[in-house]
Amino acid sequence: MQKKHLVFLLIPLVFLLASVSMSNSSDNATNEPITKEGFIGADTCKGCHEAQYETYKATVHSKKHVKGPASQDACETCHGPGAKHVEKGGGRGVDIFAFNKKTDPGAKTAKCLACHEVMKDQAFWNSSRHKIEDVSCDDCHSPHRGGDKLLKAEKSEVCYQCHRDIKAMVNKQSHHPIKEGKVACVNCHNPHGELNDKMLKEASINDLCYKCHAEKRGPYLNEHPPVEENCDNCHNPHGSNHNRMLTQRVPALCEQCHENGGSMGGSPFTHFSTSAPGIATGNQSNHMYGRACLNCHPSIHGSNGLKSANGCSFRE
Amino acid sequence: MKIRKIAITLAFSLLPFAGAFAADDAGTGGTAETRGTFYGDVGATGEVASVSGSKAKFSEYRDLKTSQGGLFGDVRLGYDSDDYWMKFKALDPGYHTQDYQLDGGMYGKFSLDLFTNEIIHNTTTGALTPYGGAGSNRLTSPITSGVPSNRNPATWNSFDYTVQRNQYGGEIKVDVFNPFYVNFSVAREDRSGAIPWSNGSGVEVPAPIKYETTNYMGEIGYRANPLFAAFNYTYGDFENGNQTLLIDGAGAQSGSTQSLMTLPPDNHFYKLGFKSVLQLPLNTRFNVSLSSEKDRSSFDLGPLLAFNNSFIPLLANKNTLNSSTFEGRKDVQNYAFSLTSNPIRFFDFKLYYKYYSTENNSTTIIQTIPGNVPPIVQAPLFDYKKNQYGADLGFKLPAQFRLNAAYAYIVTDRDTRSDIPSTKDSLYSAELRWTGLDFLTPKVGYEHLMRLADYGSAYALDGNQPPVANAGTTGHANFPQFESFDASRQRRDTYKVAVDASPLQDLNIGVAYKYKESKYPDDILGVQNTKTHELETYGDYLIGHIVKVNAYFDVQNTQEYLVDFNGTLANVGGTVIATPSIAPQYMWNTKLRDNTYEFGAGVDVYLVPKRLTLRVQYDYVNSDGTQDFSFLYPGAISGVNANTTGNVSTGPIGDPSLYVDSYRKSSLLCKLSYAISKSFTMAIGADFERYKYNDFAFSDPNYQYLLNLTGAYANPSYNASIGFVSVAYKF
Repeated sequence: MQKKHLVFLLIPLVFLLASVSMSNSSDNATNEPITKEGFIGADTCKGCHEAQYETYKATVHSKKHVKGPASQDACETCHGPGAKHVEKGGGRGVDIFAFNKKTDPGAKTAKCLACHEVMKDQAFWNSSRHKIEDVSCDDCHSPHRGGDKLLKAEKSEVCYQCHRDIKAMVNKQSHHPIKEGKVACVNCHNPHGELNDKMLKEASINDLCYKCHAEKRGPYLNEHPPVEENCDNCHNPHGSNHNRMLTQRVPALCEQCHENGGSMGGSPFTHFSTSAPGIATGNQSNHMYGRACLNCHPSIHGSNGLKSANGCSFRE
Repeated sequence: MKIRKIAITLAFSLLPFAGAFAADDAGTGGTAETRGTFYGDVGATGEVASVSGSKAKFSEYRDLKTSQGGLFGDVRLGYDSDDYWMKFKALDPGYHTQDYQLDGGMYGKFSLDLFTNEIIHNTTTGALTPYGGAGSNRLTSPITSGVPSNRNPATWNSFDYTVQRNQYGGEIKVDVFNPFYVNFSVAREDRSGAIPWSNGSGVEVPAPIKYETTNYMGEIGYRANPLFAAFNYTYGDFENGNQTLLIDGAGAQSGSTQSLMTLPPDNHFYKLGFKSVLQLPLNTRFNVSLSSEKDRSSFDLGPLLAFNNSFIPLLANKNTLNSSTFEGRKDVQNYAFSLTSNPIRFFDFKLYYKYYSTENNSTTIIQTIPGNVPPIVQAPLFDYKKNQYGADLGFKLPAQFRLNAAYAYIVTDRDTRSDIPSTKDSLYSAELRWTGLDFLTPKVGYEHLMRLADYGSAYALDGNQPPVANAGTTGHANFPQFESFDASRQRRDTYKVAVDASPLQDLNIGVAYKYKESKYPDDILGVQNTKTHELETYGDYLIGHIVKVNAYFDVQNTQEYLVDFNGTLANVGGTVIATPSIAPQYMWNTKLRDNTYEFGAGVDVYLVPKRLTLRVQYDYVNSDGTQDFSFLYPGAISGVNANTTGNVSTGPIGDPSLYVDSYRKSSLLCKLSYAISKSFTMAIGADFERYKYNDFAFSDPNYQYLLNLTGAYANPSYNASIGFVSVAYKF
């Protein structure tokens, strides 16, 4: 039998074995409930906390086919056994695990990670900046209030609760369409943790930017080293007062590294007029007006043009 | 025949799951628990708008039609049962911002997500160019050679700088093989429009955008304590429908009649990745993230040689290239490891190592020009390696203090960057937080970066630089004192302090301040230092479930100090800058300042709880930018842009101060919502927006025509008044 035909035989065999494995795996939804000491059952919780019970029922946590509260002990999966809480007549945090400010953030997070730690998006939580800062899951999520992804607020609004400096930048005149709802913080960052700096979803800033700006990836014949190394050398992706989210306006941005030597003479590129206002003919400079340096050097992200003998770059 | 075999194989492969996929009855004959629920909401909003000024800036990320008002819809439908779910969302149908998403699946088994989304970015409407064919890769000139000199704007062609992204794709996640899972996704984006470009010689022209980007990603993983592991593979393809831009009558080379500009080439990449987390005793985790990527591009250089561009000698010289095709080949490796542990209650730590490298094996293009020795190597191939080692320590101290301290050491080696081939960063940080009161959390933090740079031996700062032999010799080598701030020696200090408080149950307030200063002690020319002050304050309060107020006030002040030298290379002589007082040479410096403050306040008044709500929100941003020059010229300077021949242009005496990137942005929203019933709500309101922008570089109304510019980013100010009525039905 040829090898390629063997593959077509093996594929369904593997699937068959997997399905047998799956059907033998435990499915708590079909098991008889097990009586545990101190556990009172969700119906008892519902007697006093009907609103919270109803919101819980509307979420994925209440689905028995999902490994989570519904396939275990419902409310008491997260809040712990409720017998003592009931005996004492209830009350906020009385002999029950409450997700409030008094509870240790690590303990709250551990409740969620009991199921979510092996999920691919939360796998690196242990290495995340949020964990170091004692951010807990309930700071952003709520099974009893949440909307999409059980978030307490819409998309990036939940991040602004703590990252108000970023919100201030997003409000600036040049920004990604975050306020407009087309880009969200989670498009670039994984708030549950990554091994990359700033919890970015890619290993380098450039790799991340290329996902949406693929035309910048190159490789190019003529490359601009600071551009190749880090887009943040020139741009502030959260927002800027300067067009194109630049960290500084042109030509000052370019003058941070380039002396405008040679034919440019190191000129300061201002405009002057012997009579204000307006531009006296012959004094205006396209090195300062409009897009300044880019009026001659449009290919500053890289170019496949052929340079001249004097090495003048990104003009072709 | 082959396809039939594959189809039959797949069909038989799925048969074993027939039982597994047998659904609980949802809707008819099932129990109350298993029957599904339909839900959703449908809304429509009618807007009347009056916009004066820049419709592009008002509609920067909106369909331009919105500047005239319109009818907008949104639909959300869903179905949910114990076994299945489905959600459908449609926003702004019919507009360039429309967004559709359909996802659904079987709980615990699989999910499918399909989407299509449009993003528009309007930069400038009514830009002008004397060229024909704006938005295409062929710009035609009304004259036979040279740059069109007709300054009469009435004869120019109008066009818009707009970029439209149309995205669509889907993802399937399969969980039936739990603890194994499989994900597969495809995403495609078509991008079209025009962006500002240039002919390479000071003439601004529009360049076409016609991009197609497609990414395929597959992932297979295992997740069951104590191990998570996943392999993923990504293939991405970028195609540009226009890789060159041909411009008539614009070549700067004497006698040239056309200019051929290059645009981004097609490229593609392959990436294989692996991620894993292993749980170890004592609350310890070992994390791994590895990836290997290959970036490829290809570009035919042959056509460039046929053109008498500003920089390519005439074809008659028969200059040659060692290869007529540039093959771009770059390999990227990433290896990251971390060990985290919380072995005892009051101590946790993280140790990590990361390696990131790019290796550039692209074609080295050598151009041989008859009569010119030596041949010109077009560009060194740039690549770099980064090794990062670090440790984070966390201590739970007595009295509810929490101390985090961290250290990172980063070595960056740039193989072909001759000015600064290597840097070493030491990054220290510490943060102290107190949580002794559950309604008050203050914290202070400090971060220090010390970057040491190894400068290329040819560019040492001890004066031993290559001498400049001839006037006209240019390049970075002749100004070694001009170190690139991105990699030169740097000292950066950041101080932070913040307090968040909730003194009453529904009252939250906070204040945060950050100061950051960077100094570049080796940069005799270029940026010398930058300073940033940031202050954020906020508050929100729910008063008796009747009124909710919110307010914020943020300030940011940024200063940058930059030094430069006006003179030619021959006059410098290739040594440390000589006496700048030798006329017409002079040192000059500039201070750039951005002072931005923004504030906002809003109130939600529940006039009739759960029935009638009034919302008023005001937001304001004010930014003043200035650029102040100082010319360190001995004696009076009678102009600027003085070149080395001493041919100073006339102008006022003194140091200019220019206003740059200054703007005011405000919006006032008033909205009255009324819930007619549990399902039906109506709202009526108005939104007033103001945006006023000032920058001297766009100030003269005739600059575009005088300087051969199209007006990109010019005149973005606008005033807008929008009235709206909306209805929504929820079920």
